[in-house]
Amino acid sequence: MRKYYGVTRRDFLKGVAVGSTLLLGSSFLGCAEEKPTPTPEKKPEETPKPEGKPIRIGGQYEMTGLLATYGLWYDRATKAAIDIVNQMGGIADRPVEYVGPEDTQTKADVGAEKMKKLILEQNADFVLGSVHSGVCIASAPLAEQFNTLYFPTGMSHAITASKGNRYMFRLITEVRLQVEAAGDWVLENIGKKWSIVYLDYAWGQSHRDWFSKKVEEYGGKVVADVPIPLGSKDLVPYVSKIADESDAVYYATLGSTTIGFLNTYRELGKEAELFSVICANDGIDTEGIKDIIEGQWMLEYLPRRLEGLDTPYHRAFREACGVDPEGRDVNDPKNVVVGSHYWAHFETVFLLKEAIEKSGWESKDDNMELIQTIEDMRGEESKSYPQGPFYMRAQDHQAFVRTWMSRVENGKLKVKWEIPMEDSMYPAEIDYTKM
Amino acid sequence: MGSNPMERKLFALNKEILYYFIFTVVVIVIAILQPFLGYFYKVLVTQILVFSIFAMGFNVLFGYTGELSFGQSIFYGLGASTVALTIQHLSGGFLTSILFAVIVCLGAAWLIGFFAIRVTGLYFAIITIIFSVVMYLAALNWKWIAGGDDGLTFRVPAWKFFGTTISFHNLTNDYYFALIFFVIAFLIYKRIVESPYGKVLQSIRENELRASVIGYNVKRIKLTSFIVAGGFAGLSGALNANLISHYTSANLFTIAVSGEPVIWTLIGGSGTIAGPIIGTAIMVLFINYVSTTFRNYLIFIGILIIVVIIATPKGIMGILNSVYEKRRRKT
Amino acid sequence: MIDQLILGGINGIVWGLILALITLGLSLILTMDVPNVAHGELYMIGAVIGFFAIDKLGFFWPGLGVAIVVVFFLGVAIERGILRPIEDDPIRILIATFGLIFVFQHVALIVFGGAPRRIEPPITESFHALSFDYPIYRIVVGIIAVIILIGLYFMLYRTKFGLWIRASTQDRDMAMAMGIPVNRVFMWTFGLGAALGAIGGVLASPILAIEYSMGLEMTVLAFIVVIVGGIGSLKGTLIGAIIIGELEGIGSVLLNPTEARMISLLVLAVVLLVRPKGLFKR
Repeated sequence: MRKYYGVTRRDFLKGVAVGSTLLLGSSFLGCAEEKPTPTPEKKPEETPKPEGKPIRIGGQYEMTGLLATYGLWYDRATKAAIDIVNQMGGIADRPVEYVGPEDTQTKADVGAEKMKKLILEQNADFVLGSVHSGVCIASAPLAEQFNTLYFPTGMSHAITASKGNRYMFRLITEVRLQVEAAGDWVLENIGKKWSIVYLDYAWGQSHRDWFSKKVEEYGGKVVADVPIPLGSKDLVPYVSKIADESDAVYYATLGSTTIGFLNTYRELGKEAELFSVICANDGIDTEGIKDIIEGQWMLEYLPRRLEGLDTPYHRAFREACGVDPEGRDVNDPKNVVVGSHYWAHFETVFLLKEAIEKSGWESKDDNMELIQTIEDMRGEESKSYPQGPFYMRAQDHQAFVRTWMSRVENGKLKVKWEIPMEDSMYPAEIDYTKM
Repeated sequence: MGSNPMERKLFALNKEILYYFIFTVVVIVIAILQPFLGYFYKVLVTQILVFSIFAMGFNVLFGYTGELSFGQSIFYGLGASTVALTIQHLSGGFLTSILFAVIVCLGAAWLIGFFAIRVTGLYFAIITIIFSVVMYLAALNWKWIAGGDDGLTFRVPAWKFFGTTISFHNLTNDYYFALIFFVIAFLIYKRIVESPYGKVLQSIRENELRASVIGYNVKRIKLTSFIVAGGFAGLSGALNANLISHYTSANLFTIAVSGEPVIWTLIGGSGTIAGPIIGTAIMVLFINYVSTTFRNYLIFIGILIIVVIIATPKGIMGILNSVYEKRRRKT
Repeated sequence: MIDQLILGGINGIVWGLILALITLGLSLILTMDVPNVAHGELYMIGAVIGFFAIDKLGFFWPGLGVAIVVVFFLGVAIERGILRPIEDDPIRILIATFGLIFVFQHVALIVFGGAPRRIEPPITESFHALSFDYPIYRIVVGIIAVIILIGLYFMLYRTKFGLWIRASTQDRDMAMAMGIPVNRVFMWTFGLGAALGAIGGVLASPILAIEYSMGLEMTVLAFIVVIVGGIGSLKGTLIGAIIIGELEGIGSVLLNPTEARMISLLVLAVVLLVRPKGLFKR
């Protein structure tokens, strides 16, 4: 099992080293020529009440369990998007109905079962998926089996590689994309010698794998590799393993382990620069921990604070979801938004609207045409796509988007650098269109 | 109930007949109901059938022997993982994978039980927790076991004979297979707890010292009870992997999974034959309905557990039984 | 490497003391044969209340006081309202408190939200030795743990109330016949155990962060500590906690941390099998 994976990955990586630029350039340009960017959707002046059989969009979210914060915001963003779409006259003049959220309890098997419930009992035409990679992977075969388009938001690379299929599209970033986006920049600007601290399970390990690879490619050095077992309480034994010679520390921890890590890091007087992807800190109130998080670098997939991307689209999106300019719930300022994630399902609803109207989709029988429409689809920054332009690659159904490099200053995330979509591109590992 | 031994025997016989009658009716109803059920209700019924096997095994250990294990997820997860490994690496099918899963789980239960039964009560509960945490970490760490946290999905090869194909990715087939295995498991389970061996288990639960003074090898009997529970848990995990989820992951080894048969059995009635099944059915349906309308539905489940355990240690079956006996006594 | 081992060793003791502090309440309650598996939840509730109180009051120590008082009465209410009728059956208590886990977790999820938060430590200084810094706050918490331990010891063996506790746990009926208000003893002791959990929760939260789901893992850890140490022995709890601290501290320097965790758990299992009643019997 393990051997099998190791070999394919190494083979693949070899392939990357040989012809990455060639592949990247050709596939990217070729697609762009074949399919011109779709014209922005017409916004009806009047809003006639949509009629006809409703299109049902299901939500398979984490409402309880470790990732409960995500479900709450996904739910809100989906509702907001569907409300807007219905005000605009629905999708292809049909009203849109939101079914769910179905709670996965942050458990893979429960999540898969809820996927079945959404499809079979609630008759969902589309399912917007969980942020838990295990749920996404367990649900993947169901999407194919029941002919239902599925939009997972888990971060595992495998979802758009070995473990996905043609019925799944991921609009949000994933581990490898994040490393590609941030890697060069952090190696150039933060340091060459890195310690990597990660939670010792699939997600953390894949950050370690991809980032170590990036560091090697760049000619930097990984000076310490520090796994933290899941469920660790006291982190001194692990933080003390961070090498003193490190210029910087790349950490991939989650939730309370992040706070524990940052705290222990300061307690032990470590001074190297810190970098993490926002997943480690999304939903965490940085101002509440500003004494330990100050000065750290972070890759955001949509700036938590409006200031970082002050466009009318982003403003409207935040207003629709009830988020204030600082990235907090308007009604409950203690509740911090998972700012880099919740946009995905907002945009997915609009992506569906655009694709359905373009392909003339009427029921699940037309799914293949719809899939072909979404493959290679491009979006422009607009009211529908507040996060910015995206490109949905046909081969592996991974979307590429721009990202932001931010730094914590005075407890607040401040955008320092915008990373264009192209910087995060990597060659596709698989081609679903040929399967 | 009369004091005449003959009468008592008759009463017992009556009850026995009634039991089988109800069971047969329920099974037939489930079998006939299938075409009329909506798609998802098929999934729910399949789930109830498969999970109640898990609960039955737990009931043998907890309800009848009196040992509370919080480590049953070890066997549930191992069952599912063995299925995944058998199908992926040994190109096994439905029956072989289930057979292997049960064998592996019986073996694992023997090994773990060999150590665990040396302590009792609270100590036993803790040592099973320790073993299950170790197993969880192992499954996370060594990806070949269950694919780590991401997990493994797999396709169960279909059965082909005489030109017909029986797929295991078909809700109707899954439903009937689950029902068949449920019936088999139930009959074995009922036989176990009603046999003289089952009576010995109960005597251990009531008074371990006395049982050992009478001459029973308490440790060995407890070990067999632990193995039975492990085998049932493994069967349930294997069926779940084969018929419902087609998936396994390290998360099947968590304490949360171990807690589920505890809840099901308690609510239905531990130490009663039908208790675990009724409890499973109620909880699966309850969670399915409540979870959509109220996000924090586990509060209700918590309160329900507290109320049940205070009101009647034998759960819902305890209440039903006492009603039944009262009516018997009246007539 | 050597520095890391020394740091690991020292931290193992300090962390062991902090762990003992969190666990003492459970140890006390278990002495009365009340296996409260919601102990971790009381620890969590304590931390949550502490978080809000410190936020409102603006000071750490008074906030700690509020958490202690509230959770003490919460514990008293649980004993009086839920556990009293099933007090003679430990397994039923275990299951009732198992139900409480769900209630507490989800109340906390509603009130506190799903994201983790942290309380700023009242002492932020560190001292420097060899090649590493070590936070003074952790040492202060360790000292508090020792003080509370000594206090509990005195209470149990030098006061009338302590005598009552010991008498009631040894033979309930006899104690009652002697005129000891057994029910009230149980109630106040349970409250005391809960309050100790809350102290642990508030004092540990600057180090570990607060999350609504943090209780269960702590319950498991606390049970392992108490049972390895031996139920009814405060000394056992202390030594059990330090053993766990050291196993993790030294083990993860020498081995892959996840494997070190597995090995240390298996070592504890072996300890239990060799001494089925724990290191220090009652």
